[in-house]
Formats: sequence, C-alpha cells, structure tokens
Amino acid sequence: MTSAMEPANFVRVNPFPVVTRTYRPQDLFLFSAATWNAHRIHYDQDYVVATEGHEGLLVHGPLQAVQMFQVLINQLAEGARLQSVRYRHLSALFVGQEVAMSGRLAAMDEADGTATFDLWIERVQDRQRTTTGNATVRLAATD
Amino acid sequence: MPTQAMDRWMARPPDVCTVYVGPQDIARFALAIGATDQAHFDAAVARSRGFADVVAPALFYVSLRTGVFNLVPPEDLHAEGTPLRDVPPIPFTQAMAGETHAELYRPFVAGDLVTCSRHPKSVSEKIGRSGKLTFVQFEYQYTGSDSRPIATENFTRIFR
Repeated sequence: MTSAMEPANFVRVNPFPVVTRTYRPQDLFLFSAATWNAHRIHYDQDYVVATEGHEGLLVHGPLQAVQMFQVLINQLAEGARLQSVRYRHLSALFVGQEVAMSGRLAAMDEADGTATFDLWIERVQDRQRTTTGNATVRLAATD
Repeated sequence: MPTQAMDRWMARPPDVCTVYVGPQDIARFALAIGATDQAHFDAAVARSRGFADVVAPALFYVSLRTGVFNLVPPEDLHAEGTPLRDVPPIPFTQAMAGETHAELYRPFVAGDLVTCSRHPKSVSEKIGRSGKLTFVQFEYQYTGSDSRPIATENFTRIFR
C-alpha cells in the first residue's frame, strides 16, 4: 500500500539543519523583559554565583524551548501547523556556552493526519543535552 | 509532605486575568526569540496569510505565563525574583523550569483579548543526587473572547 502522507507534507527538510547558538547576557535580558521575568539567575551575576552556587548566568529553560521549536517551525511545509509541544530541561546552560539545536521526524500517523518530531539542544563542549522535546504537527486540511 | 500549609497553598482559588495582546507585545517576543517571519511585524504580510493583524510566534503563551501573572509590585518579589505568591511554603535554595506540555489551538493575533487562568495542579517530591526536589505543576488556560481555547499548558516548576 502506498502512503499518501510523506515527510515533505510536513517539513521542507528532514532531519533539520543544525542551528548553533551561543547565548549572551543581552539575549537573556531581552527574553526576561519580553516575558516580564525578574528571576535573578538570568541577570544578576553576583547573586547567581555567590548565593545559588552556579558558574554563571543561566539561560532560561523556556527561551531554549521556544528557540528549539523555532528550528522546526522554520522548516514547516505550507499547510502544516504546530499542534502541541512537550519539553523538559536536563542540564543547566550558561551564558557563553555554545549549543547545537536540531530535530527530525519521529513518526507519522496517517489516520490522524499528524506527524511527531523529536527535537533537542546539545551543549557543544561536552555533548550534554540541555533541553529535549517533541512536537506534533497537523496538516491544515485535516483540522 | 504535603504539609497543611502546602495543602492550603495548593487549594487557593485560580488566578484569572484578561489582557489585550498588542502588536508591540508580539514584536518584542518575536525579537527576543529571534523569530524573523515578517508576519510577526507587518500587518499587511499577516493579512495576506489570512490573519486579522500581526500574528505571534507559535509559543507566545510563554510570554503570557509570566507577563500576566508576574505583574506584582517589586516589594512582592521573593529574594530570588519570583512573585511571593508563586513561592510554595517550603524551604528551597534554587527554583528552575521543569517539564512543560502545551496544546496549541490557534495562533495569538494582535487585538486578541485573552483570558488567562492558572492554578497549582499537583505537587510531588523526589530525592535527586543533590537532595530533595519538589515539583509543583501549574495548569494554565488561555482563552479568546469567543470563549474558545487558544492554548493550554501544564508547566512544572522545580524547587531544590
């Protein structure tokens, strides 16, 4: 039997190109400001080191997650839309640490008209994943 | 655990607030996350795709989660920066984001009047390598003026 659904119905490229990023303090400031987040671990170097014992400013988990899913969103085919996301944070990520973000198609459900994608962010220096998640993408025609 | 104080904190009434989503809210969030689609900034581009006005990045609910419920006077912030009302009655030295699951029903669009509600849904403990961890799960709902859901979210905050 030939499947009517192909990966190209959902994304232009699979697996996705790897996106690298090194967070700067100003990236954290802009996200804290846009989300009205006063948590000091994201902007107060003295506090985060002396009081909480971290090695530096911590990159917001939600900022990592949003940008991880943007990697998928940037590859969505016309007529495909994000239906749900799930993510968790596995390891602290600090300002100045380079990360690589990517993802790939995990499964397609023809009856449901959906596809599931796995995504991840990996710290380059030690290949430790800091955030992982998955997303369900639905074809608009199946809404 | 759970203590009576935690039981009372968990049983508090839901927080509910209705807010207007403006084009600047969407532009700020899009710039902060590096989203470059012109439909986030240019109403004509958004309209050409069938939206009434500029459309927000898919995970815009993240900005409402804190942007709505963190609007408290500075003196009502805990020493680590979280609103005091969001800090459970437990000792902790660090707070961090945990697992999140969100359902996205439609994009947020400039001009939306969104009713945001949340309540603590569950609390649990685990013993990790660094000691006791307390997981507090919050349920958020973001609803349009037509009473239809725009997004729902289960967000866990971890206290160590």
